Amino acid sequence: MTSKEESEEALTRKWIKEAGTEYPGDTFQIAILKKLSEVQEKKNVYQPVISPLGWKLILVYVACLVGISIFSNPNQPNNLAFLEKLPPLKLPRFQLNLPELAFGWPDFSPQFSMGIMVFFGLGFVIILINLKSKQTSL
Amino acid sequence: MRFLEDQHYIKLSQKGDMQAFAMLVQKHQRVVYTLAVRMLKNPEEAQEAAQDTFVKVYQSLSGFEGKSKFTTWMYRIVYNECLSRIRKNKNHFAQLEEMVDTKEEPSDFQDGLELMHREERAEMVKKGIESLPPNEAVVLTLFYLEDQSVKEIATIAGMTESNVKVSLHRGRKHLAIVLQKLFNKELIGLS
Repeated sequence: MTSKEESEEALTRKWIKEAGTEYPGDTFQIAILKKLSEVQEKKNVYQPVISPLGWKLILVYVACLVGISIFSNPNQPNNLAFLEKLPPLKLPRFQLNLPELAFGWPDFSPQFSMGIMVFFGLGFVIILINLKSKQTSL
Repeated sequence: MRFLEDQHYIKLSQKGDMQAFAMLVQKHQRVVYTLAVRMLKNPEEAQEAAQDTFVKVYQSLSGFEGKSKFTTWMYRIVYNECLSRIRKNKNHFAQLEEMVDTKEEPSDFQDGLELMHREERAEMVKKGIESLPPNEAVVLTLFYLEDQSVKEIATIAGMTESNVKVSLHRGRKHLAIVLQKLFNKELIGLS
């Protein structure tokens, strides 16, 4: 470094030191403490990711899927499904003149049922992992 | 006001002592705010950024192990906070950087500046630093005002040491150009 550069650098240092720092104002500290208390309050309010009603709906949905996949499929291709083995119920006939509606029963293949179960199983794992990470970040 | 070592306030703050944290804020608020103003060029936004920096410092204090200097760690937080705000307002800073004409070479004006009153000169230097690009303004402030080493500045700004040296060189040159312009304006009574 030449002497000219050295003197320039010394001058820059002197001027910047002279310029000093800026004052952020009298309310600066109070504003920080206010922000901190707001953050603390937010932390204290527990908000579940999935509401209790949501959990119930998911459980019912999964139970239905499991039930359908178990009872509507035979364990062997030539066997009858569990639902088909049940004796027909003899219920009293109602004489109501309703339009004839036919509801198709879903006929899932075992592979499809397994796929659905695995899909929801993995979904639960992901939800659990997210919940855990959310709790640790709080 | 006389302050104790940072470590004293940090230990107490880690135990939840808000008064100790308030002291830590009081000790460093001026430098943190100055860095924010010099990067963001807007006092209101700098206030917000500096406050958010201290909130982040408080929240992360439990994880501060003291491997690096507290100030280096804190300046890195304020630097990143300001940088993210700058990225949001990119167009504004693109216009600002045009203010520094790099083609011009400063001539000898230092003697004239030295003859000015200290307060007037300080005001001019403040204006000059605020006209610089954020990166150069913060590097000059950390190096000359806070006496941070090139290595420490590299850690704060996430740059290589050679990049810090380049920023310092450019910052000095640009500051000289801006100061000369401001000095000439002062001479002919424009400002």
